[in-house]
Amino acid sequence: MFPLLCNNITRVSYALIFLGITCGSLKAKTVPSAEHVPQRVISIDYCADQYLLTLGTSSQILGGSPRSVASFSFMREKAKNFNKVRPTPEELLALKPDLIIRSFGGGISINKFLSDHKIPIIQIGFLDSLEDINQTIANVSKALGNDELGIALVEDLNRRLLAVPNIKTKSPALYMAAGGVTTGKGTLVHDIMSKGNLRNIVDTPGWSDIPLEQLVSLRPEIIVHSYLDELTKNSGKWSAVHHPVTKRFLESNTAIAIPPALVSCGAWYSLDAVEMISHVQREYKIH
Amino acid sequence: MSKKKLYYLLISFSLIVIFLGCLAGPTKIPIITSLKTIFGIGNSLEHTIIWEIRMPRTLAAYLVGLSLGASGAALQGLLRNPLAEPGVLGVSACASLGATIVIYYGIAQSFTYSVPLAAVSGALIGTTFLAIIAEKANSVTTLILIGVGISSLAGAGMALLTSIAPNPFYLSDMVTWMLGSVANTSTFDIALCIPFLCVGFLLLRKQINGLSVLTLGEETAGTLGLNLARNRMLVVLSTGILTGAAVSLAGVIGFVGIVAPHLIRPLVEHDPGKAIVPSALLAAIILVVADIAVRLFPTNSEIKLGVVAALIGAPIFIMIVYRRNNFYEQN
Repeated sequence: MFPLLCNNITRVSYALIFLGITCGSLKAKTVPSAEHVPQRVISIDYCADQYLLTLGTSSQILGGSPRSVASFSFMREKAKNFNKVRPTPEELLALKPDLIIRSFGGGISINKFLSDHKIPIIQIGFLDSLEDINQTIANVSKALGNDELGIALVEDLNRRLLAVPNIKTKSPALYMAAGGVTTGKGTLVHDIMSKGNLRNIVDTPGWSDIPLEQLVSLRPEIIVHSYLDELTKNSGKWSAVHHPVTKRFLESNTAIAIPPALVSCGAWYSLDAVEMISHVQREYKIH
Repeated sequence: MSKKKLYYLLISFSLIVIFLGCLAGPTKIPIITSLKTIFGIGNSLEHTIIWEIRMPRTLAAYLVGLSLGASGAALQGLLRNPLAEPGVLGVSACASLGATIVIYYGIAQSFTYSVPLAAVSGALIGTTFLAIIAEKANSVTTLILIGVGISSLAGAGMALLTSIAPNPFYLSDMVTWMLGSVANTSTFDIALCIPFLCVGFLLLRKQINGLSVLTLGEETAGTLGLNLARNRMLVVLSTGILTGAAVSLAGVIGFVGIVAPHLIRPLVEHDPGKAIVPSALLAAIILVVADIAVRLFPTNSEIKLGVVAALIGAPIFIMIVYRRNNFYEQN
């Protein structure tokens, strides 16, 4: 079901730093009135796009963000069928939406602007767990008037999560993103690793630089990373993934490659990453 | 203080801080074990940490400090302005822009030397422009403001590149270019810059006497046989090369080129020629110490080296400006 993994990996892999840091997760605040079912909905960043494209009906979707079709957007194929809207006040007003879904698009002043113009907004905040994703799904689907779809999706996610084996002895692991950062407690990736039976060796909360010295001294058994083929050519100059120590480490350890779209923005598909991590460990009999 | 004593002192401190640079880091390694590892007796784990992680970044900080200190002292001598420094005058930002262009358009992938070459080219454009303007600028303030303008322009160019870049990774990359860092530097990165640094230092070394003579005024210097145009051109060229190489190694690190010459000048009788080498050594020591501090700050993400350099250098920059202002008011 899931393409992945590489043992003794020979290529340096990359993940979405900005995506991870900026919008790795979501918590929703619902603003629109419950009795009104919106018919002209726009999502203004690719995190919001994932929710609208999944939980909205085609007739409701007025447009998505230009990055809804980017390689790191999970719903990119479906997004091709809809208009692309830049999150500028002028362009948004001109389309007369009756609901805007946003995570970070449009900058910090866009919410006030939209409120001033009586356009309802669902603000999706940062998420740090799969439970938060479930809550966000419920909130967004309710705002879109598609509660049942949201409930069914959450039930399916819960059922799948229960099916992931829970192993007591978790292998020490480290997450690597292309920009040279890793993640600790209080992030979605940490939660994904934990539920996939890995023990994150990074104890620093939130996102931080990949600790080269810790990489050498703590020797994680598994490296989790999400790489982007198209980025390997031009990835950041300053990333720790370019350091010879990191390259050597990647070549000599088990690495689990997760498609970047699964972790770039927390949503229902983030559970796929948990299943992948668990699946690779079973396949290679790591436990 | 005699020249010999000053050199001995700075070289001794250099060795001490480089040694400390190998000892300091987030991983606690006993001093005895570190010493053994430095002398080749430690195990592979400590060897990797000290020789492959700490030593390259320490050397990178030292080399960047050497380059920026020398460039700052030389530019101050050439422009006869104690506020001249690659970071303040926008030369470093031009170098960053050059490097950013070749990286983001994939040229760096096919030609490894393109990054230092582009950084040097950017720095040369910035330095040349400043040298031309400096002749016509009627006040120090004008020159500094032009430097601020150049810096902003180069920054805008980088921001433009990152805005139109095909992915969002470049945003964080740009921040590092602007704030400077030697974290994750490898010996390969250093080796890439060494040829440029050598050429820059050799060229600058030959202009030391010329810069000293220049303090007598251009006319007198000319009558003493100094080829003013050649001297100016070679100082611009050497500082451009040095700054470009430093930027390609560590991004923009400002103010260190002001602080070191400012502290050294009184010790060398305010002779810009004599100030170059000690300024370079002192700037190198300051940057290594700053890098050690950066490693030991208990923050989630490592503070950028340029931030610490600015925290040290910016107050001194303000103090120099304030003192100059008072001096002119009193006279």
